[in-house]
Amino acid sequence: MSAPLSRRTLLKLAGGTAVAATAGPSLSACSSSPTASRQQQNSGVELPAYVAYQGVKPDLAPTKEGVMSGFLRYPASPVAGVPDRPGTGAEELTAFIQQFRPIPPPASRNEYWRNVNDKLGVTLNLQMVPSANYADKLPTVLSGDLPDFTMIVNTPNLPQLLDAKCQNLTEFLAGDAVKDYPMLANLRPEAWRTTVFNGGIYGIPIPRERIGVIWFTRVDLVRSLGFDPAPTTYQEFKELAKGVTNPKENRWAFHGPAGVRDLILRMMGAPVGWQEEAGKFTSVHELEQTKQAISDTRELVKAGYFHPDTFTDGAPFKDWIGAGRVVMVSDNYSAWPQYVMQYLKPNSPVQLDGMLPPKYDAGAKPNLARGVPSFSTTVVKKTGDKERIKLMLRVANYLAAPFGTQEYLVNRYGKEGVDYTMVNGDPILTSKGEVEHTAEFYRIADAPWPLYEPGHPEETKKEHAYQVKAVPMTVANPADTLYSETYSRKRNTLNTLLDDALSEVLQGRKDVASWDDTIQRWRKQGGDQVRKEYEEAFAGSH
Amino acid sequence: MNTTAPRNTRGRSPALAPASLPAKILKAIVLVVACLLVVMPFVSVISTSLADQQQITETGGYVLLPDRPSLSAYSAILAGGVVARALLVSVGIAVVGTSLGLAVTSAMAYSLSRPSSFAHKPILMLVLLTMLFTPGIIPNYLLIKQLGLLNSWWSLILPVLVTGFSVIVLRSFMIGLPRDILESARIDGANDLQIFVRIILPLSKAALAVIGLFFAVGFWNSWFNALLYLNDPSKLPLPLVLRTYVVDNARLGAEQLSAESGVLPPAESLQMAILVISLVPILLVYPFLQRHFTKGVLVGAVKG
Repeated sequence: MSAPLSRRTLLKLAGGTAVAATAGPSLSACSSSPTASRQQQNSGVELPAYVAYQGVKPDLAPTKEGVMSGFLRYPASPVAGVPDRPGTGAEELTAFIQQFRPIPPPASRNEYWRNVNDKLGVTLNLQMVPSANYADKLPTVLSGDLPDFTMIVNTPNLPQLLDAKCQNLTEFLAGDAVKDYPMLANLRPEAWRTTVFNGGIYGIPIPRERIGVIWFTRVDLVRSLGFDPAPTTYQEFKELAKGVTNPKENRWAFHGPAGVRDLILRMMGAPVGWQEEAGKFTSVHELEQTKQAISDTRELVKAGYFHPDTFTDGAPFKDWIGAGRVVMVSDNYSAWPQYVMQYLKPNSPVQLDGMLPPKYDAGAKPNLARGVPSFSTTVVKKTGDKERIKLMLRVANYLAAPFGTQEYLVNRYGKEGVDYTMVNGDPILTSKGEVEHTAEFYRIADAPWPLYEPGHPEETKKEHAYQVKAVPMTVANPADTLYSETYSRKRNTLNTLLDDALSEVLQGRKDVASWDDTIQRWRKQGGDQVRKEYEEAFAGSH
Repeated sequence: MNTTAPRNTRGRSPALAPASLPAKILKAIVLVVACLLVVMPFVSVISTSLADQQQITETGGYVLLPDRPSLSAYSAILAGGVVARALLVSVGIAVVGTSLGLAVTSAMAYSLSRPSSFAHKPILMLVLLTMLFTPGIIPNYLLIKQLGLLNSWWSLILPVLVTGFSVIVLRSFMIGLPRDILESARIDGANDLQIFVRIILPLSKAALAVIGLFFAVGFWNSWFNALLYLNDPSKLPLPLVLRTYVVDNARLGAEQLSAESGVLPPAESLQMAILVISLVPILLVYPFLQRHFTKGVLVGAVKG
């Protein structure tokens, strides 16, 4: 329905590509002030009401702080969460999504996909792009008629793009309006906050949990060497690292010096990402605490507690921890189920648990980095046809049905007896299901994650117990719900600058004092501009 | 032996002199090492694709001989028929693209190689210009879109059907063909088309083999255009489909993996199996073209 873009508009929107490398500065200069003024309107936006879905009773209760609902088995009689079919069977919708797993067979040869279409009453076409090439493909998608659903991640010129091509969903979702879509009302407000631009709600968030990056420890190894896997002070932590490291036995304490630097920051109770004080933003990299943490990490590297290949890009640390080559790694919480599946086999000695950050010193109040509230935003193509918008929201509502419902089984597992079978109360994918279900409909709309380890209820309990302790310690990055044009453009440049400098210091090629110069360069190359934009965005939404 | 060596080589180039035993041994060692340097990565790629996680971790990611060989990486990749279909698509694109590319390029090169052909100098200049200036992604995309080629395999073939480099190489070769043959053919009554098909093409086999190989490898590896222009998952060529196996397996959650079939094969095995699958077809074609290839790479080497 929307008019095709002119070449000039397209060039503006395609800012993240090579085109922007030449045209970028002038375009962003033109666009910064309207962006700022649009951001001012965001504080008045009414977010969708939060109504937690009560249709499924978890085995392990969630908490207000954000501990996830735990399930020991899939509920024996799953409820129908969405009684009405979203479409009539005649409609067709297209979605552009990032593909994180192998391309699935097309719908014509994919029973799982056809079953989802059948239950939705809509033919869903997926345009899948490998996640690593999303930024290459997106400008071309934006240059034509937008698909009905488009997955948006870290996109430059986002406010302008939304304005030009995407549907403002405020009247359909704000406040109590979202109650027409109960599964979307089940998403927390902090996730919705990330979809607010230009004074409106411009998409459906793909929610993530409050637990973020944590420390995984091989507790079986630590205990067998006579140590306590839960150190309470930094001194104990260092002793643990020393005690478990034994190069002769091919075993080191850590992988990932940047992760250890972050862990030490957590031990100190340092802010996560950015520190916000009365609307003023300071990056954690600018704080003295970071220099101290880098200096401490450098000592640990010098002492030889890191795997010798730890500075190698793409080091297979997940294999290393499984094989006992390293004893502690930092990883996203979402890796826990993967570790369970990979290493918890009968007769396997491997036992993993999360470690809480010990106190750096007597006065420290350790914390954990809260996970980002949303992974991506699904925007809807601009159209004057309200019925079509409602259809799209009904489809999103169906796809966001939470764990324990019949719809979740359809969305994630497929057809019983074909794509999965119930084994001891757990849906287990068949080999056909495993191939077919890589069609990732949950990139369009997703439910809150459950705590669920099929076949390993004891692990679910362990994770829940960990979360009960860990989640209240989490601190959010105030920038997580804010948009910075400069950061969306220069994210890689700025992060590479800091990562390279950190690596040089930790490997002893530069001294710790050089971090000050690094920060100066970071500020000049965009850090200060990012700060300014966050402060403007913060002022506009508070 | 040393005393006889100078006598034997008298009057000969030192390079042709028979080597002494130690020199032979040294040469053999150097050659064996050179061969191993070439062969070992291939062996490692194939072995790693067959190895299990434990061995991969133990050897630091590069296995030379799998202890417990398994085809699980290949069966994981080939399950569901997606890769098999993509393989067919890629073969189709490579065959059609290469054939059309050769036909168009050779016709253009022939006409540009004849000094008497119409406006050949300005056209040659235009061809050369394309080697200096390449359009960006967006203009290319807009062109493909306006030609109505989006989501069509032709979008992978037509934009690269004629490349300046191939035309120039082939033209230089054709200029070098003896003019007398062409003139005698004309005296015998052959027209341009007959001369082209019956004389020029058979004489240009070596050059065509080289250009054909360039085309075939280019089409076989083409993924970026496919990424931009194709949306239908059933139309994707092999490199793009295989790419999704190596991009990001880290986000797999337990509910997405089957406990029944254990876990995914090791990431390294998958990656190496992908290398094998994408390399084999080109490796199969190469020996047939190799004898032309060595001849063909000399095309234009002296003449410029």
